[in-house]
Amino acid sequence: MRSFSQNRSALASRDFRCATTVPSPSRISAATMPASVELRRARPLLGTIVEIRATASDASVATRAIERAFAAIERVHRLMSYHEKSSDIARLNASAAQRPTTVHPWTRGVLRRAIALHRCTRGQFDIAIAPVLTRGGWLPRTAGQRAAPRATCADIVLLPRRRVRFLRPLRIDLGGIAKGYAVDRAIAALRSAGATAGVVNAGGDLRVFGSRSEPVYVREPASPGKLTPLTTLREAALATSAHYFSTRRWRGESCSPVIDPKLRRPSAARLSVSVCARECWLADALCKIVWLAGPAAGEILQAQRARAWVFDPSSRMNAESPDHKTRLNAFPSSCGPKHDDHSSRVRRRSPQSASLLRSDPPSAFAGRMNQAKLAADAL
Amino acid sequence: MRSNWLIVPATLAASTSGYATIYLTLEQAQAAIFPGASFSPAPVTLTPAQRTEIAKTSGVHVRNAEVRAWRVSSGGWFFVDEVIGKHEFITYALGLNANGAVRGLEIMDYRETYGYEVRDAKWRAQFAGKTTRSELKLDADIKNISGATLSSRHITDGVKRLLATYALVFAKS
Repeated sequence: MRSFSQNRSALASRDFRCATTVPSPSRISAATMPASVELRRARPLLGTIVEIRATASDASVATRAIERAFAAIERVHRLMSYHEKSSDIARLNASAAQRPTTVHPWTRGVLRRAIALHRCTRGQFDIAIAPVLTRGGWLPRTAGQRAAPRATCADIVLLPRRRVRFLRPLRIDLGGIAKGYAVDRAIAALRSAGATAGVVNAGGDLRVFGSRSEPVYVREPASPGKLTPLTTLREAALATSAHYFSTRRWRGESCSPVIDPKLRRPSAARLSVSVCARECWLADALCKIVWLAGPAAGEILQAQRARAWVFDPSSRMNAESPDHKTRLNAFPSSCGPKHDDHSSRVRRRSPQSASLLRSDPPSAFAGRMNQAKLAADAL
Repeated sequence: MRSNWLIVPATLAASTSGYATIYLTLEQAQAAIFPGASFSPAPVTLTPAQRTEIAKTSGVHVRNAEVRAWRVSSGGWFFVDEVIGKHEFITYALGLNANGAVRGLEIMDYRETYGYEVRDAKWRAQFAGKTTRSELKLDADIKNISGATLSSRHITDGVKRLLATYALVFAKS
């Protein structure tokens, strides 16, 4: 899971303010269209650089929308940072194994999503991997209780009245999902503040809303300074997980903070995985699932109307999952693991693909890619 | 589902080796953090002893002796600072209230390059204390980049350094 490992220094609680106008091209275009302006701002948040663009009828609306969107991201940071002692996550890790701990509705929402993904991927996605991230040096060591050896996301119980209980000592980290969730919250804030279109990009996890299509570039995994056009997004989110910028030594190997929950170790694969989904929390989390499961993640991608791209510099092959884009636009944005229909849909999956999802070690990725290639050729 | 994946040889067409984004001009950043205020320049050149002291209190190396500061008519201070990462150059503005508390922070521009010149100390040195962005010929048209996370640690360190500079040099003036 990508972690919030830089968060201890993020400037989350400062009072940031901004304003200014840049006329958008649409102002010039049609006299019949109402005038609109686009503003673009960037601030350091979530341990990375967050950029927000908003289009609105006038500059004051766009300024207020961007301000509210940054405030939503700061709030997610305060609630879900692993490092800040007063965050919901730090409080859960400290006390939820002893007694029910009350959390903010947003935190509960992310936990609910994470638990649903854990269930429908048979444990391939797990937020209870903070001990591994600590061992690898991506998260700081914390005093306090040790996590139980085989504790997983399944040990988290969501109780009524926003209370959360851990059945065993756990240490959770939302680094694989909360950044995407923060982007979703920022988009919601832009919308409700009256922006007509916008883009939120939190260090590579991004989401687009409004009537325009946005071209998106990815970094080449072998030389991250080179940018390549990947796709265009409209009313959709895209997240990328990649090894560059974040590798650390793990028992002599260079590893990424994508943790295999089954093997309890970071992945040594050198990959760039991008996922397009309707919401950014989902794109964020699916990146880790596709990273670990490879082409076997096709089933869950289809169930979630998502699409993935895998760049593997070692095999010199790229893989692209089937295009569910046409259905993506028609899919109601409220659907997802928060509704129980999702888990039942995944439960109907064939036993064969379920086992594929469960047992693939990350090192076998290139091999599976080649198998998939053979299968594709055979068609 | 496996057979439905499209496998293609890696023929990524590299489009660029760097890019730049300008968010705010100096005047825009000033108006964003202190709306309606006026600004009088108050630049300071740090002495070697001050640099040592600031590095000690902030834990951050003081690369540049020139501090670009403005006194704000409504009370408080406005700073423009540059930080250099392994590949990125970021200019940002920091506004402090009269009591020294952070009032606002805005990134003014972000430049990223991966050329050989980054490792050249002389090339890096040309950015020290400069506002101009014209030395770099980078692609400014690329707006949306999805990729692994670049840390904001350099900015955070820069703010620590500026706060220590404020406490030592500006707080009493």
